[in-house]
Amino acid sequence: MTAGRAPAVLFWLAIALAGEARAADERGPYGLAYVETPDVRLIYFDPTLTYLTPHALRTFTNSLAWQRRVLGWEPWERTTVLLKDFADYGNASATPLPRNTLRFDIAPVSHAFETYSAAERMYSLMNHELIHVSTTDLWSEDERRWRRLFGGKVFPQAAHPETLLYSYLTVPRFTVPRWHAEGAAVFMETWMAGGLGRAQAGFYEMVYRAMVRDGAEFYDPLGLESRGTRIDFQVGANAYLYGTRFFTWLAYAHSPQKVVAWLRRDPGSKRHYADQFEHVFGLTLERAWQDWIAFEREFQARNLARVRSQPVTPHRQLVPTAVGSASRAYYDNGILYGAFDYQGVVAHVGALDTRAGGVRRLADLKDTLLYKVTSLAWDPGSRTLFYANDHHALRDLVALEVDTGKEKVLLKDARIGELVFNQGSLYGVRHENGLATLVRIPHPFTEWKQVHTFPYGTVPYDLDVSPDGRLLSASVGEVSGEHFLRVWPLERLHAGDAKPLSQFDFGQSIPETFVFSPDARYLYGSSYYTGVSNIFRFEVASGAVEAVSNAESGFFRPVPLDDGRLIVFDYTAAGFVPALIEPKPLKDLSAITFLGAEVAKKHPVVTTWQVPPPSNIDETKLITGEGAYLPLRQLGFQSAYPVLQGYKKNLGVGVHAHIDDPLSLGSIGITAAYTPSHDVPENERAHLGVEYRYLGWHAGAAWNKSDFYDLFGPTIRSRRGFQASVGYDHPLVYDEPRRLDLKTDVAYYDNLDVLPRAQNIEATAEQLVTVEAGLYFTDTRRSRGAVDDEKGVVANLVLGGNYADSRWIPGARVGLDLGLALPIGHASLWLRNAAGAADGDPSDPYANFYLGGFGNNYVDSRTEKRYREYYAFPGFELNELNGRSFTRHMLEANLPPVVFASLGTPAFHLAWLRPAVFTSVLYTGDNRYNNAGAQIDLRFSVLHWYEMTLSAGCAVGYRGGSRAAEEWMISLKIM
Amino acid sequence: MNVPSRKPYAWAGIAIAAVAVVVAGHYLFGFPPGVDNLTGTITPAERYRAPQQISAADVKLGDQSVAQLLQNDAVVKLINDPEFQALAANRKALEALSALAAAPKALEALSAHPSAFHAIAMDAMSYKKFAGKPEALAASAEAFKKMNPKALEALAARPEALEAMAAHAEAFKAIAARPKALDALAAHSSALAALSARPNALDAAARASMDAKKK
Repeated sequence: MTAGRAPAVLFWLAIALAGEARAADERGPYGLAYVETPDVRLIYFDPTLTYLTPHALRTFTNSLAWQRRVLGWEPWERTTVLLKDFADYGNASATPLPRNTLRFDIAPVSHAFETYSAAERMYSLMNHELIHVSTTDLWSEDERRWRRLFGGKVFPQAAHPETLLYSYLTVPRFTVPRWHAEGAAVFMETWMAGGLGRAQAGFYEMVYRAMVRDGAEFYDPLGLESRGTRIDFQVGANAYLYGTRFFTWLAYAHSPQKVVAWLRRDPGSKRHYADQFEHVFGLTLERAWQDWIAFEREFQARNLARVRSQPVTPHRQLVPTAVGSASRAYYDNGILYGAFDYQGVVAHVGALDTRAGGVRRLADLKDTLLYKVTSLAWDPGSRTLFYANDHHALRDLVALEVDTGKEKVLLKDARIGELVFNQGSLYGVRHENGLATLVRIPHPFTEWKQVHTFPYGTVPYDLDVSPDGRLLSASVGEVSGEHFLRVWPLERLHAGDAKPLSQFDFGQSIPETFVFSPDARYLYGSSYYTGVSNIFRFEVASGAVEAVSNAESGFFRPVPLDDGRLIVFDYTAAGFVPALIEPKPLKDLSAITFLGAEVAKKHPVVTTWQVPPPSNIDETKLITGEGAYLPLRQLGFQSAYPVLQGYKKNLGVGVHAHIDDPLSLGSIGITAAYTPSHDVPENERAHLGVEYRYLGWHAGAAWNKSDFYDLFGPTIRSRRGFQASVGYDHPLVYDEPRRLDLKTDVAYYDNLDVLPRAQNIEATAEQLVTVEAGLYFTDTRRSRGAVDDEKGVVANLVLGGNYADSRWIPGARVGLDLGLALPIGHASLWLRNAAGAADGDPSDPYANFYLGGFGNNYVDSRTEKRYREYYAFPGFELNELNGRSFTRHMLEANLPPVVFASLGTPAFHLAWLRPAVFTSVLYTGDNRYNNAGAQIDLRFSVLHWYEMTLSAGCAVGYRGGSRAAEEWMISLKIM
Repeated sequence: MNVPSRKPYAWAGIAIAAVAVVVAGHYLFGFPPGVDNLTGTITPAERYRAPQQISAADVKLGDQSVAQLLQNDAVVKLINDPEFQALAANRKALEALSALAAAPKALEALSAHPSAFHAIAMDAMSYKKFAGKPEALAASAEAFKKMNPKALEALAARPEALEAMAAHAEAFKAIAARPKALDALAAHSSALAALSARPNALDAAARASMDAKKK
């Protein structure tokens, strides 16, 4: 093939690509289907999730009517709702950008520690998520004008940073802090579900009661965003905790109607949430926050006094400091085995010595749950722990021999958790397609067997089996929001009879981790029955329940010991602490007061906010269309806006238009610009770029390619002439954080002035074709609160070549990064290696690798850690070093970060500072180069949702053994 | 004159008032939440709970047969079997199997004699003999006969899967009617990968979306 025929080849490739896309469309990718009404387009996986569509349509329709009535929201467009089953615990997300969209993972949710509403999940999630969309999509005449001007709401894109401004103009209420978004949604979710929600959750009361008892710091709005969601063990959950509490207090102190007025966008309302707050409440947000904290201290002091009105159960802490979040634990001869997750250490299974107090790490965990960490089972006979990984994907079952530390993955993607060991088998609960199935996993634990599938909405969790193996217990949530403790004879369950032997109805108080006593007479567990999480014991024979503790904050996860004592996890402001108590049946316990209940008493209007039951809707009368979801037939105009572009450091003006389908499975971006500069030849002043993506396919074409960030340099991405490319990316292994991606790309260039990847090297060929296919592997870990990867492996192998001047020049490069965590919090050490080789004449620019420089632009959109890339070599000029082959070895130390508190404003504040030092050696042929350098990255938050990084670095380069040059770098990474 | 004692009325009034308080408390604040067996004088915390909560009867669900089918270990194993996936790629063979699934007696017979698969693959008449509805199945006999022998082995090796298919014949028909759906089921994890791995796919606004729950 000659380079001149390349455009034709690319054309046919594009046709084939389009054909492939069309063929895929005829059947709908991945079985996606849709059903729509005038208000919602519900997309789901057919046939597995089809059964949920009536319920989803009904709950959506009811919730939308509520949002219209209470918040005055008239949706800007039809809302898209996606049902998927990609995670083993339910969750959902929402955004008004670029279109109103809700995404549901339909698995049962985790109720651990009462951190989620007891209500039926679709009903509750729909209400919660639609609050997010309604309170951000709300529009006034101002927003209507901007949206019409841009053709829609503008989604911020790194390639065009002006979109940050356009986004604010079109969706100003999206620019709110996370605590505001979640606080509004959780507060409303509670009353929309008739009181079942986190505004009345025991966990939320406990957190503040413990903070007051322990004298912990209350974050102000700035501190919450800058520090509270990063260094606290609850990390991002603090946004929910603080937001919910502040909204609840506002309703209590100022009225729920004022809360609604704050959220609405009526004529005369203010664009910015903080201005609107002052407009409605007559005081600043900061002042109100301080009022709330003062109130909270008194409120919790009264609750503590109520608890202390009865003798508080003494407890002895087994370790001096909190272990963050903790799983169910098992006691064995002085050792407490459990899974722990706290700041600065990767989540792990550990052995906690209750006598000496230390924790021995046994195995790292991946993709853990925030509070529950993982489900853990213990076989004392073989001294093996069983646990699950990948809780937000498809769970694996793993065995760990505690004495040898030997790990083995037993079942991959089995989707089973809630594990408990019973006489050679494991029992667990499998989540698939929204249903919960009790399964048995017989030895050798390599396959599972269905025991019983519960109806939709009935969800068992926290299993245990009696020591004699006859009885199985579980907490069970029902559609009504009631949660039960139930006990079944296992034999009857296996025979298909799911009628419990005995049960206890805890109402909306979640029964937590009930476990059998050694004599099987009792089940011990915890519940917020009195508002405080205390330990209760359930007598299996009689069904009688007694409280056996009076905790100040909360006791959880009891581990009955042979001597009758219990190990419990005591909640403190710093996390859970294992402790010993003597359980004694108590006759008197005082209940605490829930702030949410006080709101209902003082302002009964919230009791009128319940969303009607889904059964009052006949969705069949609303449906206007249904069928296979074909993304390419759903492509629609998203928005268009003016942009600034750079062409070889010259300023151009242009316009960008974006077209995509409602799920963004396919998209087309078009940028046209003109550079009115006399420094640019006339035939290079016009610029056009088109990018196309559909699932794994990507293609693009450009004429005199331009780039916003070329305005700043030193790296220039704009190129003269015509270029076109096509490629396909596919994840061969997707097991986050472990993944292996295949990436391919074929590109054609015509009339280039410099090489595509080496701006300082003249292009000697009129036409150029580049081919590249690479495997990219990554498996890295980071601990809670980390700002970078702290350990793991990153590797890649890329094969390809250049075709120029009728010569084919093959080449290859490899990379291997190995990292380990240092004992100092969040510090790590990395060895980063790269090597490459190409065939051809050493003087041929197409047969060389070009390296040098940091590569960061003064204003940039790519990764700030550019010195890690194979083509970078700080201390030398860009592209200064070259060779047909090279090897580079870098030792990098990432030092502990500094996390800032309250430095800036909530909308613009410093988050953290991350220092790193590195030194490298590079060989190109017979030449040897060295460098040593440092880089500091200062991360700050802009407009609550966007993170920017200001980086500064310096490096000294050595050629042979002599100092060659030094380089300074400063760069602002946008978004 | 005997003045009638007012005490009975007073006690009745107190009793009615007490009942009213309990009833109002139950409906307004959802307490006590089923405390029949709770011993002692432990006071539950007051939380508002609307008198009417949604119940199972309020949840309208569509046809769950496919979702239920996939709770069965044998079916999941079969669907993930590469040989069965090869069979599923053959539309005709899948239709034949689907027709067979609609004849539970035939499936039961085959479940009991998995080796019969080999026989019917060789002999269409044998297939008819096994099938409970020979007329209905005759048309697909040839297709069934043409099944990949390895796929037949995969089926033959899992009589429990055949039982599950017979027990969920409608669901299996629903799946078989959409061969690509079967692909999607078998490749669920790759669909997860393909859609989750790309920031632009499904989650264009991933950087700026709000969750219901912090994970």
